[in-house]
Amino acid sequence: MKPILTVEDLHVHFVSNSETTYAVNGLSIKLYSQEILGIVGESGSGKSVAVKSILGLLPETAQISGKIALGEERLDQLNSDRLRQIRGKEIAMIFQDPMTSLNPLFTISDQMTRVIERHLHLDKQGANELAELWLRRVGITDAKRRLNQYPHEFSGGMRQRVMIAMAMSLSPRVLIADEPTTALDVTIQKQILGLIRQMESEVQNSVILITHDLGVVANTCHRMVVMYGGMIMEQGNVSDVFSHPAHPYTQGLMDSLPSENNGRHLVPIPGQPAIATTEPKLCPFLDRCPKSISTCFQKMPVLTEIKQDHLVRCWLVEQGGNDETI
Amino acid sequence: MYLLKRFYKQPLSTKLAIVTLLILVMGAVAADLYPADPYKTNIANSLQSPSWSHPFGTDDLGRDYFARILHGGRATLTVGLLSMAISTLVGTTVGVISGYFGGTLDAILMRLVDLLMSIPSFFLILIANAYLKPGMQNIILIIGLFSWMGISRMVRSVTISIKEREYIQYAKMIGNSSKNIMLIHVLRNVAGTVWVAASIQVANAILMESALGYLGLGATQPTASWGSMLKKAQEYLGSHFYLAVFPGMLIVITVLCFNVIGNRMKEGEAQ
Repeated sequence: MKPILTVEDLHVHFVSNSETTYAVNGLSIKLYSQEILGIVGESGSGKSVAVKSILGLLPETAQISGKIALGEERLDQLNSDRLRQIRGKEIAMIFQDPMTSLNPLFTISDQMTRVIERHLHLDKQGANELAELWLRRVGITDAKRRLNQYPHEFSGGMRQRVMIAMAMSLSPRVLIADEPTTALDVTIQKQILGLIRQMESEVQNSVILITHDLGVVANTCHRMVVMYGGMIMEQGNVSDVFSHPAHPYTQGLMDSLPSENNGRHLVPIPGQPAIATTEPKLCPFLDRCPKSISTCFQKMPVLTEIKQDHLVRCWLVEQGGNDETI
Repeated sequence: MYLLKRFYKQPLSTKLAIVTLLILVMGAVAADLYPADPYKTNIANSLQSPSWSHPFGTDDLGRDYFARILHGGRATLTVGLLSMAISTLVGTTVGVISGYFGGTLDAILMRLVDLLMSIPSFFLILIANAYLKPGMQNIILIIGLFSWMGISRMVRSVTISIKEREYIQYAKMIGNSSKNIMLIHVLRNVAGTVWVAASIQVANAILMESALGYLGLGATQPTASWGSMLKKAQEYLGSHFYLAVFPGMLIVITVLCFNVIGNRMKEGEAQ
């Protein structure tokens, strides 16, 4: 099967006068049609930077190298006109905080129709009808009246629905949701994730869901990628990774999940994720890893397939298994 | 209706300023309705004190002073408003572009602003005025083109804070061009700052025009402006002080009104 979106050997460095920050270090991701791919990791693991570089949304201080392709089209080599056509129309994104993603000075209708008119070449009335239709599809009642309201008249969950409606109204091939529920409370989170799943199956697009919540991944995604220090630590089908987490970092994330039935205490991962200011030569998780072996201090582990479509970057795996069944 | 409601909520000082300004503007606009001709000299009738037939008296050439004040107000307010329009336009454009794109362009534009600001603008205006033909058009252009720097700095700083907002990122993500983002999102957000700056700019431009007129560089005879009338009145300050009082008071009142309104806007902006 051909992937819709391919990211190959992506490196993103932020260069300032005093130092260089290595945010993403050789990331490769393939996104296939009609799947929801979860990207998990702590804050600072490079998830948001990676997806923002797909759309070229990073500030100018970012140095990006690697291959990013939508279908056959290389996004990293596009001119700005074509990139603007792709933004929104082919790849749309939902941001973390729906409170700040809408301009408070314009009505919902203003903001939605302007985008629809430009990308789908509809007239004002057609755009308005489409906007209303999508508001209704994301579960906003009284859509006609709501369209003429300002963002402050919507609650957080409602605003995130508006954001989803806005993104989906252009029927993008890829929807990137960057921690779409972090700013929302848990019941709203459930509704929003349900909505994203429902949209995915109705419109048949692909979704990249960025989150630091493993529970969200388990409930929503088909495949998942665990990132740390700007690299993939583990990657595979959600069921495989959850039943046999092979990387100590993934295991650590699982252990720090609250669980209701086996009465274990939460086991946090000690330490904080470090920001790399030199090019990483060793496993970025080494400082915090409880299971490190001598090889870890010598060279960088490589991404190894331990089962079909289940890849892990860890020397323990090379050494003959670190399978820990939960 | 909406405007009336807004007006009603203002503090007394702002209400007074708005009403006074409206009266002044109406006077300037409707100056032709007043029957006396501001240019018609009548030496026999010169330097008369205020009376029923000449409410503000007459000047040294026997011209009706009230008519001259009305027409002078028209000139002064025109200079104030038009040069404000020019400086606001230039200042906003430079500020938004500089703040939005940042980097080298920002550095160049802001150094230019620094350069222009480091020279007292009054001297620049005097020098430019000396080289150009005196006249209303040039006065407006010169004042406008040498007073946009403050506005551009303010607009730039607001733009910089606006462009980091998520909805700007979002607008970029959904495929807006930089031009669109600046025209739609940024401009709408800096509008408040611009209004405040513009209202104070009008006051400054009027003061500048009066000062130029006082130095004999403003409106040319026989056209009157409050500044040039003030200069003329100086000669008769001992015997006919009212010739200086009327234009002087009107300049003060007008400038004060614009400043009061500008300050009120600033307060509203801060909330």
